[in-house]
This record gives sequence, C-alpha cells and structure tokens, in this order.
Amino acid sequence: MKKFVFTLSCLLALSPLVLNAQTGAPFIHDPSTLAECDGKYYTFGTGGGGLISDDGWSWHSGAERPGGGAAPDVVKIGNRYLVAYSSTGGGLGGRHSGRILTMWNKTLDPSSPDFRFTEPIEVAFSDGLEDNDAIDAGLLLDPTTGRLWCSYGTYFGHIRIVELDPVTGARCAGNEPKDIAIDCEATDLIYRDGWYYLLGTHGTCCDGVNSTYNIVVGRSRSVTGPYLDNVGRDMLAGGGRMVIAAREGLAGAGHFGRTIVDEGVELMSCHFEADFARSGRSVLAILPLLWKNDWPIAGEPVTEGTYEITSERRGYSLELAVDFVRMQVPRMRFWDDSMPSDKPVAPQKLEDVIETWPKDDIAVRIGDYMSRPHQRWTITAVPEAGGYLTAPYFKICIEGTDRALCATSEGEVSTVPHYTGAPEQLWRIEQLTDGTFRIMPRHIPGTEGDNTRYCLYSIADSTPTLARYDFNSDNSKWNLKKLSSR
Amino acid sequence: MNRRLFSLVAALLISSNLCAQNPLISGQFTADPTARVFGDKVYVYPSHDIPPVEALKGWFCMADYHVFSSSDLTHWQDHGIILSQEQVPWGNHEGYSMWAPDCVKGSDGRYYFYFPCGLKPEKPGARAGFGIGVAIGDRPEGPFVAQEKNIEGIMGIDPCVMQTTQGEQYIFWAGGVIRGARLTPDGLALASEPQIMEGLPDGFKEGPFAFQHNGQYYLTFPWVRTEGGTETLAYAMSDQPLGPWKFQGVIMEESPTGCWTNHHSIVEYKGQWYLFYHHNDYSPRFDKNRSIRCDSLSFNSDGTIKPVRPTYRGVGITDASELVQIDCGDLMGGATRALRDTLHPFEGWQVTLPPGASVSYGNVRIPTGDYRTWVCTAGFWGRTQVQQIEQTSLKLDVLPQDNGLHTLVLSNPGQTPVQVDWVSLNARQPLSPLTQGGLVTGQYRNLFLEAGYSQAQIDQKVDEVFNDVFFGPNKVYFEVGDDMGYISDVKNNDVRTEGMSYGLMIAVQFGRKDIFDRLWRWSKKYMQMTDGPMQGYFRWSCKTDGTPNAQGPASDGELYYITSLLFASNLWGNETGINYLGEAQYILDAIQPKTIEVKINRDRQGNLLKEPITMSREVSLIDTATNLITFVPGVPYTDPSYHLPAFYEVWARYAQDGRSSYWQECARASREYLHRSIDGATGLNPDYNNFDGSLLRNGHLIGDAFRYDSWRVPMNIALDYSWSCSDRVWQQNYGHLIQNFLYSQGLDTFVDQYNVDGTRPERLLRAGNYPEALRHSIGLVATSAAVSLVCTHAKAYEFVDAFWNARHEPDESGYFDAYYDGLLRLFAFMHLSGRYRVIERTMQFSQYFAPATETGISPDEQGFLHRWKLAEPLSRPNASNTLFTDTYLRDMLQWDPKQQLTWHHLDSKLYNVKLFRFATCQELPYYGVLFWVETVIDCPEEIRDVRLSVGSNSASRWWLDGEEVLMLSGDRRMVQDDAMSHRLTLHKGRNVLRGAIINGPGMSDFCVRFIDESGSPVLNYSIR
Repeated sequence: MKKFVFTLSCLLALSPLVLNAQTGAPFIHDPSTLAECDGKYYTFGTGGGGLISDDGWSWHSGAERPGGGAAPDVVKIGNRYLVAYSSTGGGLGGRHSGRILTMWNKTLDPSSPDFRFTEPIEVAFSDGLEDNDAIDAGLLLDPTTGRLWCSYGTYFGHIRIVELDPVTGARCAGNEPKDIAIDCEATDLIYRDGWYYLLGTHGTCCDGVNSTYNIVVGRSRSVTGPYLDNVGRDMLAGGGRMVIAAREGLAGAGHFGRTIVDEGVELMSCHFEADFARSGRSVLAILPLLWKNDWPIAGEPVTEGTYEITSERRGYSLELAVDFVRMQVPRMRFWDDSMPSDKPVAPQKLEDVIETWPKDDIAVRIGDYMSRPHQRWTITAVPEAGGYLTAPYFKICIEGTDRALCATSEGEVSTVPHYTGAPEQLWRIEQLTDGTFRIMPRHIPGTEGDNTRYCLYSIADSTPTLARYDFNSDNSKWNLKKLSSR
Repeated sequence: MNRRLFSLVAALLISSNLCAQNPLISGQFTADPTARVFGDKVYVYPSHDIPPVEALKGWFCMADYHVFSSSDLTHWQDHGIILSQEQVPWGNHEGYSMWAPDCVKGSDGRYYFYFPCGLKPEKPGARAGFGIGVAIGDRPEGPFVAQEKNIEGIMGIDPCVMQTTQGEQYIFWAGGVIRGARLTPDGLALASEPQIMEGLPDGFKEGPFAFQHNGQYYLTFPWVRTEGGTETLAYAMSDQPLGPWKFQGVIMEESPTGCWTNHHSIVEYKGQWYLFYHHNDYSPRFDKNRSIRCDSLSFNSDGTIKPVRPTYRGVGITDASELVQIDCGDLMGGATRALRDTLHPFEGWQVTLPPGASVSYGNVRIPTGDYRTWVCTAGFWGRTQVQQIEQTSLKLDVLPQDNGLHTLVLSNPGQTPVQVDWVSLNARQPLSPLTQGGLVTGQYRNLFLEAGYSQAQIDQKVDEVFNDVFFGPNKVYFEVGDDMGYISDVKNNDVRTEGMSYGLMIAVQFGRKDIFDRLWRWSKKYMQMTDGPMQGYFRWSCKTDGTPNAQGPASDGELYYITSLLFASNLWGNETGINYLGEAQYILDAIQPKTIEVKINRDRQGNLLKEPITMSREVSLIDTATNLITFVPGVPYTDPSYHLPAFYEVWARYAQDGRSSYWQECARASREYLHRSIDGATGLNPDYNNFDGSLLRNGHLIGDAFRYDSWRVPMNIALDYSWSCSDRVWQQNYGHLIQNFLYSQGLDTFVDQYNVDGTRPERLLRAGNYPEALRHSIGLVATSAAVSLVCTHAKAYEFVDAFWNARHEPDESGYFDAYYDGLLRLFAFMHLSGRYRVIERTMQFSQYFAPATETGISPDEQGFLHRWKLAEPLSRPNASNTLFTDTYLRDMLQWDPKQQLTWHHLDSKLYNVKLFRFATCQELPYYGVLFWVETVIDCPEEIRDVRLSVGSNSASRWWLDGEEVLMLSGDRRMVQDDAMSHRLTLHKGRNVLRGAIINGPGMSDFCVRFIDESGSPVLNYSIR
C-alpha cells in the first residue's frame, strides 16, 4: 500500500493536474458569457471564432463568430442568440474609433443548417477622439423589465451604457449613451435581488504573466447608475471592489460573465491572461461565484486532497458506518505532574483500524468529527470521466484506500470496497453562492443518464441520503475542510 | 425590356471581371454548368441558385438563367439574364425550378437553349411535373425566346444535347433514370421513342452529359455509389450514341465540402479538355446554393478518362500583374485556407502560413519588364495591408514551368504565422480597394500615390485645380464685400445650391474657413427661406446679386449643406461666429415631413391650367414611403446622382438630432435603390427615375438617359465606398461595369450622354447656351477616374492616368464649363489624392481646461484642486505601466530645478485633471511620458492633521514644500482616494504641492484633494 501511494504521488508530481482553469484547449481572450445551445456550451472571444464544450469542463475551438474585433458578448433572447461585438480592435488596433455591432443567430452550432448570422447593425460608436472606445460590449437582459442593455468601453475614457431593442438588437430610438465608469475594460452588467452590478476589468492586459488584469465591481439600484463600490465611491471616480485578481499559477483575470446553473449555484467565466501550467497562454476559467453581503466574489475551485466533509445542518462529518476503534493510549491525569507531558500521541492510523472494517460495501453515516481514518475522505479528480462547468468529476475515497463513496439504486449513499470508475462512484462537487458545497453523484443506478437533481443530503443529523437539491435547506449543503495528509 | 425584368437585371449582381480560380463566379451562386465552345469563346450555361423563397425553404430555388463567357478561362463575363421563369409560356411562373440547362448551335446558325422548368400547374400555387423546353436566340448570350410548348414526350430534368459528327442530334435527360432519344433535325421534337440508357450501374443517377471523342460515345453522369452517400461524377462508354453502355468508373469523387449534388459538363477548348462542375464553396452550410468550378481533364490512351481532383486553383493562366489569389494554391507544410469573413463568403479566402509553411500557385504569366512583388496580408483585426514583400517576413519563389509559365511559391521563413490574401508582381501597386471605410478607420487611399505619382506632384496638381476653381482666371468663386461670396454656374449665369454646397464641402475639406464662412453667409442671406411653408430649405437658383430665380429647393443642395456644416462644426467648433451644428440641425428639422398648401399651375401633361388649383401636399426631402431622397421635395421620383448613402451615416454620427437610426435606415435604402438603378450591362443609370428604379418614361428630354446629372454617380459610389465600405461586392462590380463600358467606347473618346443601354440618345441635352453636341467631357473623365477607388482591374489605372493628363480647357468648338466640369474635376482630384474625407470631430482643449485667472480659486465641494501649473510632458518611453516600481519611481521622478519645462497655468474643468487631453489637444506626446504638475495652496491659517489624497493614472509621486509625502507605484488607474499621505500640516500662507505623474499607455489623469481627520474634504484655503 505504501508503495502504491508513493507511485501515485509521484505521478501527480510529474504531471500536475490543472484544476484551476478549464481543460482541453481553452485558449481564448475576452470570453463572452457562456451560452448554452442544444446541450453544448459556447463562448466567443476576441479576434473571431470561439470555443465549444460538451460538458463545460473540456473546451476546444470551433465556435464561429464572424466579424473579428474585440471582446464579444452573447445573450439568448427568446429562441435566438444576440451577439454583440466590436468590429475594430480599439486601442490595440492603434485607434479608438470603435463600433459595437449586434447580430442574431438562431443557433450557435456552426454545423446546424440554421446557423446564419444576420447582417450586423451598429449600436454604438466612438469617433476615435472622444473619451470612449466603443468596443468590449457586455449585454444584460433585465429580468425585471425585459429591457436590454449594453455596456461598452475601455481604459480609453468612459464606460458607457446604451439601451437596445430586445426584438431587433438595434439601439433604442433616441437613446443616448451614458457614462457609468472610467478606466475599465471588458465590462459586463448583471442583475441580482434589486441590484444592478457593473463588472469591469482594471489593469493591463496582453502582457502575458505580467498582465495585471483584475475584475472589480460596483452596484446600483438603477441600471444606468451610479455604480458605487462598497465604500460608496462611484465607478466614475475609479471605484470598484475586487471580485478576482491573480491566483496561484494564473495571472490577469478579465472579462467577467455570470452563469446561473441552479438556485444558489452560480458561476463566473473569465479568462486568465496567462496560465503558468500552459506556457503562459490565455485560457478560459469558470469559477464558482459567491455572494457575500450582496457583493459578488470569486469562489475557489475544488482541489484534490484529503477533506473532512461536514454537514451544514449540524456540523457532523461524513464517515463510514464502522465500529469506533478506541486508541490504546493510557489516560493521563491533568493535575498529576509526575506524568510525562512531552510525549506525542500518534494519531490513529488506517492500518490500526482497517482490519476491523467489513471487506464489502460499508454504509455511511454522519457523526461528530474525531479525526479518525473512517472520517477522512480523499477527493481525487477523474479527468478521463469528463466534467461539468467548474471541474472534472471526482472520486471520494477513504484516505489511503480506494473504498469509494457511491450512490445506490435505492437512492442512498454507501461505499464500495474498490473504486471501479462506475458513474455512481463519480461526484460533482460545486461551491454554492454562500460558500458551502453541494455534492452530487454523477449517476444514480436505476435512473436514466446523468443526475443533476439529487445531492448528498442530511436527512437526519446522523443520516445521509440522496435527495432533491434545495438551496434553501441546509440539509443540501456541505463544507469541505482540507486536512493535512497522513 | 419590361419593367419587371429591368429591375430584376439591375437587382442581380452582374460583373464582368470574375476571378480566375475556383469557384469561377463570385457574387452570385451558379450550379450545373454546361460549357460549350461557340466561335473562339467558351460559354457556360449554369443554373442560377438563389436563397430559397419561403415555399421552397431548404430546397433548390432557381428563377432564371445567366450565361458567362470567356476567351481565356480566366476572365468571365456575365451577360446577365437570358431567360427567366415568367418568360416560359408553358412553365410555372412561380416554380423556381429552372434546373440544369444546355445550349447548342443549330444547323440554321441559331442557338438552341434547352432547359427544364416546372409545368404550369392546374391551380395557382400547385406543382406539376417537369418538362423540358427550347428557347431560341440569335447569339450565344441571347436573348432567348421560349417556344410555346415544351418538348412532347419528355418528362424530366437536366437536358443534354449531343451533336454527332454524323450530323445527328440526341437528347438525354434524367428523371429517376437516364433516358435518351434522337431529336428531329430542327431540334424541337423527339425523332425516336425515349429509351432508358442501359448498362449503367445501380444507384441514383441524374444530370447526363454525353459527348463524342475519337469515335467513342461517352455518357457521363452524377452517381451516388454508396447508400446514403453523395454524388460522384461517373461515366460509361459506347460505340452507339444511345448505348448500350459499358460502365467505366468515377471521374470525380464525392465533394470534399459535403455538397450533396454535383453536375458537370466536359468540353475541349484550344486543345485541352476541361471538366466543369460545382461545389458549395460560397455557401458552406447550405449545399443548395452552389458555385461552379473547372479543372483540366485528360484521357488515357484507351479512351478512358483519368480521374479529376478538384482544386481551388482551377484552370486558365493568371497574369501575375493582376491579383494572384494565392490562397487558391496548393497548401504545404501546415498552411490552411479559410474564408476571410464567414458572414460574407463571396469575399473569398485567405491562407494562413505558419512558420515554415508555403503555398504554391501554378500557371502564372510573369510580367515583362521590371516589377515589384506586392503582398496583401490580413491582420488580426481583419484589416488588410498591401506591402512590398521585402517589408514582410515572406518569401516568394518564381519557378519556371515547361510551358513558359511560372509557379509562384510563397513561403513563410519567419517566426510568426502570416495570413495572406493575394500576391501580385507589378511595377505599380496593385489596385486593392479598402475593406473598411474611413468612417471606421480614418484611412483614405491616395490612389495617385499608389499609381506612382509623387506626393509633391500630387500636392502641386491639387493646389492648381483648387486654384482654378477659386482664384484662377476661369474661377467660379466670387467674393462679395468683406464677408460673403458665391459660386456661379457661369455658363447659366446664376448661383445654385448645388455649386454653393459643393463649395462649402470643398472649403471645409481644404480647411478654408474663410471661404466656407463667406459661402455660408451668402447662402443663408439669399437662398435659405426664412418663412413660409418651405422655411429652412434653400431656393435652388438665384441671380448673382441674390435675386431668386426659383422659389423651391433641389434636394441635393440640402444634402451637401447639411454634411458640410457638420464637418465645419467638427473642424472648427461652433463658437467662432457661426454655429455650424445649430445651422445643420435647423435644416435637418426643416426637411422633415410636413403638409403644405401648393398651387398647381399645370396638369399632368404639363399644360397650363386656366385656374390654378390649391392642394395640400406632404413634402419632405426624403420620401417617407421609401426613405429615398426626392428629386425635389414632394415629387414622387428621384435622381440617382443625389444618392450619397455615406452622407446619412455622417448625419447619424454627428448631427445629434435624435434621428441616427433613421439616417442609418436611409443609407441602407439608398444603397438598395442604387442596385435597382444601374443597368446591368453598362453600369449606366438614368438622370431621374422612380423610387423602384424603373424609368420615368414621361417623354421628357431629361430623365431616362445618362447625361450631366448622372456623371456624378460613379464618383458618389466611390465616396460611399471610401467612407463607409458597406456595399463592397456590389460597388466593386459596379466600378468594373461602368469602366468597362466607357473603356469599350474608347478611353479618350467616350462621350457624355448615353441611353442607359449604352446606345446614343436620339436627342441631346444642351449645356448652357453651347450648341448640342456629344463631348468627351472632363466632368465624366473625372468621375469615371474617381470610381477607380473601388476597382481591382488594371484599367482603373488607365482612367486615373487619363484624368491626370486631361486638360481643362476649351475644346475645338470653344466649349468650356468652368463650373460643373471644374467642380467635378476638383472633387475627383480630392478623391484620388485621399483628400476627400469624413471630417471627424476634434477634441477642443477648451472642453477640459481654461486659462487660470488672476485671483485664487477654492477647491470644489468635494475638495478637489482644479488649478494647476502643468508642464508639457517629458518623453519617458515605457511600454507598460507594470514597470513603475518604487525604485523606478524614486529614480525617474526626481525634481531637477535646472530642467527645462514649459508650464501652462490652467484651471481644469473636471475634478480629475486630464493630462492626456492636455497633451493630445496640444499635439504633444501622450504615451510613455512624464508630467510635472504644481499648485500653490494658500492658507489663511495653519491647518493641521490633513492628508493628501491622490488618484492617478498611472504611477505618481508627490511633494509638499519639497518634502516627499506620497507615492503611488505600480500599474495604477485613476481611483479617487486611491492613496493618502500621513498627517500633514498646511502652513499659514503658501504651500507648494508638486507632483510627477508617469504614464505608459492609457489616458493619464489625476485627482487631488486634502482630507481631514474626520474624512471630510478640506475646503478652507485658496489655490493660486
């Protein structure tokens, strides 16, 4: 067993699994808000073209967006997709005369016979001299009013907002652009719970690992601003609260896009100017989006490691339903100074208890955490199984074993003695907007296809099961506490 | 030509300069090519795919036929529509089923065009089967007249007629199976019972093409060889014209582009055999919009046919002095080919050459004499750039072939991928029209410079021509008093809104505010109506003393007035005495629809009425139903030469009248109308026409022919192309069409009046009091040269040269038109020298700063300091703001009392001091610069425990009374209260605050205030 662990960690060291940005060939700059079309995900970037993904985790080129230019965005309105883009290169093209254009398509799938973009129409313009560079469109279809808004602009002066007609994609007659921020690029507008949020990218792009791009946010009760930050400073005065900056191995976060997967399950897409694990190329990243006091902030991707998995309901930890094995350490009397006080007590080890465990399936329960082997779960990515929008599927095994957590045909959770790669042993782990996690089996035996509804659930303080995910119930939520390896 | 057909012809894209490579024809879809040799030319009769009408959604849709001819297989001429479905007496006029045709020359010397067509249905809207009919014409390019009835005994499609060396004719057609029969000698009926062709393989077959070669008969046909597959081209042979056949195999494999159909013909021309066929290159997602292609074909010694591999290179010799579309060559070493713009596939392909890759293109004729190698590369942003190859990382090898021709091999030995559109070997830079308009790029071509004239020559010539119009002995510009002037049509001895508004446009283009203001004042005083129903419009003609000749406007005057005024506003602002923008907006309001009372003096036939009738009528400059400019406000027709769509786009951008989307719509409508107004064969247009593009046909002398007014159209289209570039393909083809027509009339001899079909008009229009005559007028020489801006053919340079060398002087008869010829000549010189531009708004220093006053000022309510001494920037080149480390700033931002600085004492109108505008408005360097700034804070008493609060773009360093108090390092943007100093004391009296702001890229600015202990701004001091 020791040897096996050694080999495994060796392999990991040789080819570190990249889990902090999307996999495949996700090379893009200024990814548009993720769009779903016929079961596939699409994002378009600067310079034309774009990326496609079947599962949201692995991406490849192949999306088509004509017109070139910078930083597009896309929104689905009815059964059509509206793409906004800039026909010019803006500042990078050496000139600040920009044009925002919109065009429609019934589908985003280039192989569909319906794939045809309408003739683009200009919705905003900058004349090259004014304090604005009409590129980098961001679209918001206001869910409360059905009105369509477009923010645009770069570091060259103001970020502006115009209103578009959601039927034609053209600028609303008589609508004049309004300044809402300065010194941003690649902005996006979103709406949540009575607040409009303007997300802008500050800093410098296109300088590889030295790019200082970072995403900041301000909010307003009105879509046309003023957008104030958390200290009340207007984004027109440079205000903004950090949503995401650089991460370990990733520099220069830019071009925010928000995707709502489910209630309480939100994602942000962006690019990182440089992925250190991929020669410093610009890559697509999709991260959990958290909300803290009504401010958005980027969450953390799940990383591999050994965890205590505790319920949000009571705080008990997921554990194997096995006998509690007492540690054979004499009891010390704390007042008795004749007893030694400098002798470390070794923690209980897997080999101390594993022989007491049944060899076949072992049920799971939830109990108070004692830092014992049956409570320590190693979460490992299974990249060959594919993934979902924020991560690959994971297996969840008792540390040091390949005893794997699995869903059963009775709709319960259990463990199998050996991980086989079966889909009911794969888990989808997503951080929720409040920072907790939902943990879903990829598949529940006896049901069709991939599971997207049922999650690991505290039906009682001590009893886990699978039940419909409900963001409004703490029974659906779990916390992951990373443990140091033994 | 009936009206319906006329508009159809004009609406379709017709070109005579189509490219050498595959596909053969761009700008329209073509399929099922039957190629025939008549005389010394190849004629190709394809079907004409169009995007399907609603009833045929997703299916084949064809309403008519064109024919194309070539004598070199490189240049193809479109002869326009030769037959359309409503001209077929027995056919379904709404069937859109004009499928694969054929054409042969009969023994009577006439041309017999065989075509399938849906049969006339019993009920309208229903569908019947297919018949095959004959239409007969005197020439290969028609026109063809369809027979009353279709050929009896044939139900099917895809006719092919084989004429044997024995003088017999056989017809083959498809319909589930392939059938054939002998034709009567007149070609109009079957002479034998139809029989099914035997010996052919199983699987779907259609589109037969039969021919005779070396005594053998060949039956070739599209064939689906595998279940669920697409069509190959296959063939069988026989020693009898109707078989039985012996199957031989496949000539061409299934389409690599996934086109389900293929359909073909095989022809021998000048000793070489060719296969004509189709793929769907220009419609990659819809394989029922196809494009014809051609590749060489050869026989084995036993008479069997060698398989043909489809190429993009195709056939024919490419003259390297023209554009060689190298993207159609053979790709090697990882080179890839992709559409330049998937939204506009007719714009063709470009090739991407990664390092080490190459592309080779054969059968090129190298020019004799010296040449340079030009390369058109495409940038990341889709912009193309024409350069000499030495300026790129590319290398071109010119390899000789056995046949005296050459192969071009373009390779990329460099380090980065390069995208290439074309190469050309030419002493002159190849004509390469813009791909984006000046409205977007601010770039304009100097075609004279491209043609090889020196900038000094060009400047001299343009100045001369300008001088001729405004100041020379034959000038048309006359100053009146101290502040007015007019432009006179001297041959008619009047002043017209046309000339006045042209003068304004020229004046603003040349930056001559003096001339502009004089002309405007005269226009406003004498021509613009101040009251009455037409208030705001201009009387189109006045005497030179200002007395009105006419009470009404002519619409083109308003068009130019508005545009020139907007340009003047952009160039000179609105605070120099004339509110140019206000004047433009006043006219824009005036020309909106309104109902007026009009007196009618004449009836429709033009006879004077006994009693005038008063009627209320809606007038507007732009017709409300069509969004097209009227000839005169309120009349129901227009003048093609009044159509300058790009002007509306200028209005949309700069007029600030709240109508920008309406003006955009007018531009779109105007471009669409121009398509309908141009004759498809000549490129000519009438002087006036209906809004739908049809001729007025009212019998008046002026109207239906191409005369003086019309000359402006080529130049107008050049302007629309240069400024907007929104109608590239059509406008390029238009340029070729009209230049080809005029060229065919003789470059030095074409005349100035034609019927739109190119014939000479019976009646001529006089110019002023000069005798009626056809002339080689310099006005048309000028405008036909200006349209070279849209052209790619080499003769465009000949028009430019001819214009450059033309002299504006009285002809043998003494005819001389200083006004109209003179103005058009000047406009054309401006166009061709890149001096006729969209004049963009300029940023005014006064928007941001005012000179500091004598007295001190207070900080604003939020405590920001607006008064600063700003030093002109010092150059500190740096590519990025990330370099501004603390150490760098301590090193670079050191005050040196000895340094030479030029200070400006200013009040910033904004709380943030826009250093970027401070620099750009004074044309100082603005990126990679260091700004020193200084201000004096005058305190009535000591103020303790305040903090200096700064936001700056980018890094900055600050000193109070010489002591460093704050540094903002790193990649900074201007953020209010980004950083603050420790607690400071502002002493009673003067405190000097000095800052240094350094900037890489970006719009440098800063904001400064003092904050007290409670966080409130400090306000109780003054700034000097």
